[in-house]
Amino acid sequence: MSGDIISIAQTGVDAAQEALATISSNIANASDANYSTESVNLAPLVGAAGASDGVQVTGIQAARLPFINSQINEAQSQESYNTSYAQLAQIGESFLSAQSGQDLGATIQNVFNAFTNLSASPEDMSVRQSVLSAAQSFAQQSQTIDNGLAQTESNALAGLPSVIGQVNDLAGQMAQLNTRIQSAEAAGGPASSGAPALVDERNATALQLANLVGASTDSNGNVTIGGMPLVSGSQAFALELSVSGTGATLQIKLPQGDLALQNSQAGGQVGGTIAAVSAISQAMAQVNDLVDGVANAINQKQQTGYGLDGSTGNPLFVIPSGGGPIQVSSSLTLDQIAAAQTAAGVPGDGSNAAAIAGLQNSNGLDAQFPDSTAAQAWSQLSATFGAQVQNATQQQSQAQDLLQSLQQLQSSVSGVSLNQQLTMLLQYQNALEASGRAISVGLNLTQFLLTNLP
Amino acid sequence: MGSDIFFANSVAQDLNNVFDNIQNIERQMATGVAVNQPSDNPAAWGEAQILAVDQSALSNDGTLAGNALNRLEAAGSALQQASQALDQAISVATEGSNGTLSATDTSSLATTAQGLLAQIVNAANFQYDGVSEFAGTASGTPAYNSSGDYQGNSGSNAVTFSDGTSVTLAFDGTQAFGDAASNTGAMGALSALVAALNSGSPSTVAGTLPQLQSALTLLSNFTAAVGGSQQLLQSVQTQASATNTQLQSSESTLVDANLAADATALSLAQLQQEALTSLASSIGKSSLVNVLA
Repeated sequence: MSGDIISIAQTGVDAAQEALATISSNIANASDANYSTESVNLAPLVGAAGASDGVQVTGIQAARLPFINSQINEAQSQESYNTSYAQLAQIGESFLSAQSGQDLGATIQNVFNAFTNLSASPEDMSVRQSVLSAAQSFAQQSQTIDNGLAQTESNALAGLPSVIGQVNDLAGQMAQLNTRIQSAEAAGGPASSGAPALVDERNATALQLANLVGASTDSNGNVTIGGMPLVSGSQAFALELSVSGTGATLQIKLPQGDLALQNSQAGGQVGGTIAAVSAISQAMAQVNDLVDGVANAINQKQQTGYGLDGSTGNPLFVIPSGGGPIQVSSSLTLDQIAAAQTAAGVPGDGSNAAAIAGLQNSNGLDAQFPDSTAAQAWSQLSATFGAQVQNATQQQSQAQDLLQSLQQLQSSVSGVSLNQQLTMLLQYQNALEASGRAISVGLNLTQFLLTNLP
Repeated sequence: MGSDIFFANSVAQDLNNVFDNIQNIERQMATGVAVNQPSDNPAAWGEAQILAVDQSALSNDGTLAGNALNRLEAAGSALQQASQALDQAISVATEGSNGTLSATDTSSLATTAQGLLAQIVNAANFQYDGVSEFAGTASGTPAYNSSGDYQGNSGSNAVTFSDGTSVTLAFDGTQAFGDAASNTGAMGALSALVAALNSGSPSTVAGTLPQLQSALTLLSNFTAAVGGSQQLLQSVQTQASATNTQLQSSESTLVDANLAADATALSLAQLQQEALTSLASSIGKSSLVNVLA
């Protein structure tokens, strides 16, 4: 031992103070979920003779599990993806599941029922009015569903640019943090560098990027989306969103050119939103196909039949050429509803109305469902969409549970335990007092020697 | 050993989940329906949609069959009246064929026969809700003129129910009453009888009897066929009602809430909520902090 008691005890005081400062910081950050508990690394101070000459702080270490961090990011991405998907799909689902008796399947059946009644009373104007009313309800329901789903899509897509803006802001922050962390690590030094806090901030940023767009971040702070670079070291690349019609695509602007992302490569909130919009768009197309298929089949028979006024060739529905929600022909009069199959059968022949009503038992009115009646097609279509919503909700719940478990695991390592910190507070307080006592003893001894030595 | 902040977030999330669960159970108990939207139970939703459409069709069939039955019953009454008139015509013909009648008596019988013809024409012109029942599809005009000449057409109209069952509601009148112009059926026989009585020839009158008998047979057969249609309509009505009840029961099994199970689940969820609330209130009260204080 080459040092004197006072200087050696002084290293103990310094180390204890550093440790107490670290504990103080831990307690102060106890409410920050992104904060990782820090601790001082102590090592003997080796003197010239190779013996211990006190203690020194060699560094500040944050308790982290890098593997768990990446797992948490992945789970967060999944949870956000499924939450966004489920929320949007549930809104879309609400338009498919109107009040009992008012949904699309019911309104289609009401049209067939009205034609059944017309077959029995082809001359009855009140029955003809019922046919027209049922047709209008069917058309109105198709428009309500189409408008509702289109509005859901539109609202979802309208919210994406601001999310993409957040992603780009975070990517920029990530690049800056990478630069600062590299500088801090190059400068060295325990507490003064601030590197542990910067790494915590970088981890928090990575988690937000995972949440928003399903980005993966490696231990060096490089960020990718579906394997495509968003942040490389100190450089961040812009993520851009293109919205066209009812779809959205993503691309990353790299120096060498734009890099298009497949929608399946995006995760998190953005990926879930784009996927939900796609699913809603598909459901909307399926609903319109069914509506158009039924309306077209009715029109075909209506146009070959004869109305009370002897007219023929009059469609009941107006079907958009490119598909979509239908309307009842505004020029069609009650007399022109073609109940009769032949001109000679007017007014008492209801066989054409019966033939239209018989379409309720015909398969393939909707070409997507060649072996199903309209009611069965509607049942399958709506149930399939419901299964997608249910699946997303279940996956959301599972991802939430996984995320919670991983966060619990991380918290057990990285989280600040106040009990543990208070215990260590007492420990280092005692160490500080003991070192102070040693200094006091050293000073007394020096005083004694000065007083008693001749 | 975890941090309080994580614990707090975890409890908050659990509380949200329990709250959602309670809301869901309460909605089921309030509405009595467990499947309110496709995602609640896609398979049950899909089946319920089919059942609901079937119920709608059957309900419509039942109502329509009831109306059609009323219509055919009214038509059957008209046929019955015509049949009675034809019976009387046969009696008149029998009496008129007796060679002992005076010219006055024969003339009186001719007048009676003319009246019976008018009764049959009146029955054959029966309308239901303004629709001629026996004019084929020319339902807006009377089926016969006062002479018993058919003015309708040879068409007919039927109601077709959702299962494809078809029942004729408007008929070609010649199939029941014949036509005076072509000397067929009741109309032809009655016209011939009137003419024979007016001629004053008992043998001519007697010659109309086979035609009258034949007309009665034609009318009876037709009436029986209409009776068969009525039975078919009753069957449709009964079957629609019974099947609808079964479908309602099936749909109820699929989508209705299990109130007993819901009540148990609600009780459990409320207990969980209470426990979590209590737990949340204890977060941050570190025991060592309290000890050191």
